[in-house]
Amino acid sequence: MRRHTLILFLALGVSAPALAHKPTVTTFTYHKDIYPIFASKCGSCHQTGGVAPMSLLTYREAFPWAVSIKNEVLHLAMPPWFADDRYGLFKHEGGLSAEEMDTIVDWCLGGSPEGDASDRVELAETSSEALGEPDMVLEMPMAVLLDAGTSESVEEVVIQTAHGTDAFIRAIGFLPGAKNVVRGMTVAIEGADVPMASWVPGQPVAVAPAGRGHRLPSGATLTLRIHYKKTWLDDGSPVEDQSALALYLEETAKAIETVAVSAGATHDVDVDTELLALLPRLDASAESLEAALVRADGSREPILRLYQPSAEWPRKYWLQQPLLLPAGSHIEVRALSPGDGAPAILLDLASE
Amino acid sequence: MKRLLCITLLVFAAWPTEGVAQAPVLADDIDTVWTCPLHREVTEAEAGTCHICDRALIQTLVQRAWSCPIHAVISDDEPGTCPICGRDLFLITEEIRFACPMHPEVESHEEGSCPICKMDLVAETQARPHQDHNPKHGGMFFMAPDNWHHLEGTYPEPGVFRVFVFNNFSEALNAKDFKGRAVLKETFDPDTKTTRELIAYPLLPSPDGAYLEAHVGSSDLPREVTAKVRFERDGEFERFDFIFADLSLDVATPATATEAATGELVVPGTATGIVAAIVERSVSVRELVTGGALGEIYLPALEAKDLAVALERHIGTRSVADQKTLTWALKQLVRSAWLLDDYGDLGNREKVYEAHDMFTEAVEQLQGLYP
Repeated sequence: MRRHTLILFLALGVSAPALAHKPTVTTFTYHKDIYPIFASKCGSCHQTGGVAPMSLLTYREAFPWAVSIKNEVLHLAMPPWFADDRYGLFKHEGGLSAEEMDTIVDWCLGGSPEGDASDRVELAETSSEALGEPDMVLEMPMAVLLDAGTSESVEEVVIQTAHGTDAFIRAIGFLPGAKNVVRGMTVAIEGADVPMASWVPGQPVAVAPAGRGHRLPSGATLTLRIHYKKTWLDDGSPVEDQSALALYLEETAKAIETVAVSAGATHDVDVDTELLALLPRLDASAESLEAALVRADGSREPILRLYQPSAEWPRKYWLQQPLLLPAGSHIEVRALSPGDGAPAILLDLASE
Repeated sequence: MKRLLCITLLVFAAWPTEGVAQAPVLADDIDTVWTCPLHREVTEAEAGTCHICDRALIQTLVQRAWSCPIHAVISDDEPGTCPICGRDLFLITEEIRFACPMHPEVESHEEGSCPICKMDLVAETQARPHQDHNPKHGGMFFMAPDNWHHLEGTYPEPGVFRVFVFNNFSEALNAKDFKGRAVLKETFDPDTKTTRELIAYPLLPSPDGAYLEAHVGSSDLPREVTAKVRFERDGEFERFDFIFADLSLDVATPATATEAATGELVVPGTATGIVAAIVERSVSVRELVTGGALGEIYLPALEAKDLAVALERHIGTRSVADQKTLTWALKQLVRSAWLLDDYGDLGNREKVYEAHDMFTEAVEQLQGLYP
């Protein structure tokens, strides 16, 4: 008997004094059970040419990563949603359900079988919100070149708008040029302290509630900030990017103001105000980050709690419905174990 | 010769339009085993049927390679470090298959030509699944964090603690190649997160190298011993926590399929009944955690998470607020159950306690909503 083949057969038929850990055998297969989850929850990044270092949309590309996938899922690192399910109702929720999580882990640990390709059902393309044609598409004036020796960089590009009148932005579509290296983008009116919109791969275009929008002054200049990061597939090769923005405009709207509230600080609400969205700002990953509404009577209601949010994936959380912040209340931001960083949460607010 | 990323590149080799072609490197020493076409972890020395599904086993060529414990896509024909994360590579078994470069549906375990286009089939390699965790000497069996070494602790007679070391294929390794100590008492400083050992004995190899042994003094059962073992010359000492309720009888445990895989779990028809069944399992989990039977926690823990998945289908009738709490609790329970299984395998009591705290919090939330 060859040495390889000693596996599992050392002591058949002997009564055991203690229970043993046994090899797991999964009943899930890639095509029937795993592909639908990967396609809907992971495929926007984990596709050929995507920002992730590997596609998960074919069995042959996915199964060698089984151990890594299991670890990422169990530690809530992937998909990068981070929001505690107990608080807030958000658009485009991106976490896994208990059953999806269990199915993936079971498959990863249980031999990762492929199954029958005929079981695979392709998912229909879904569009989260009907937007129509953008009112303005603004391309970067020139391409950014990441030379062969640069693995990661953050670039700021100034883009001039050509809108002759003041307007309000109800949605911004981020159109990455080189999808394999664009890890995130933010856009701000030039000179503003905080961005009015942000995007990470996989995040659909979010539309502000009807009648609300960020103010876009006539002829405004925008600052587009782009985080580039190569995966090990592109390291050592030059990559060029020329991304673009698609703006969806309204002539009139209630203006959205963005304010930054640092961890440990509060934002007082002087008049009745709507909270529309929250964007964590992290310069290092924290154990947790939370925004809560504290009413005048002292009652406290968490709005968003992030568990181990990653500075790599600064996702914006849009509330399904605007949350009324009554006059006299305040928003409190707390962080647990922020390390050396200075985390904050940016609030998109609208008031009369 | 480097064989990095060969699994991915093999795909490219088979379909040149998808990327740079690169042929796999086959080792000089290729073995033949018999495997199940459905249950990839089943490996037999001779032809026969799968012990799980009775399918006929197929002849399979295997070779050894070095891979990363986290990034299984890495495959090299020599020891080294992972180009993605820098971890040391460890030895794995790869299965060799042959596929048509033009017709991906054509795949064989033998060399030959494509029946459609007559082109020669091209060799591909895939990592074989992980092997068994069954005690060989009646003790407690754990896997090292490197996913390669395995360790069994036994307490065969009063005051005698033994450690057997195995590789990923359950092959016994020479204990003279490893260093270790048996720790009986230690203190942990939560501020500095450091542990100070107060009572420890060296683990010394037996003359034949079959095991490491420490004489830890005779005292009443149950006996708690922590083994700290170093597997590589410059590596760290890894921790394995043992509690022996009885003396170990030197007999081995056969490998079979998991409880979950056999489908024997009976799921109650109501949400309240499911929660009651989860609470029953949580009692068993707590007893095993406090009793130190780390390698057995997976049984009730994985049953509890199967019940949690079943409960998820019942929560649609609850209020939105309840659904949100339930969603969190069920995910927390599934995660913590798998982590209990994982950390139990590693024999790391501190990690098991962390996962058990998560598990308990999830169960308490469920009890609060289904009193």
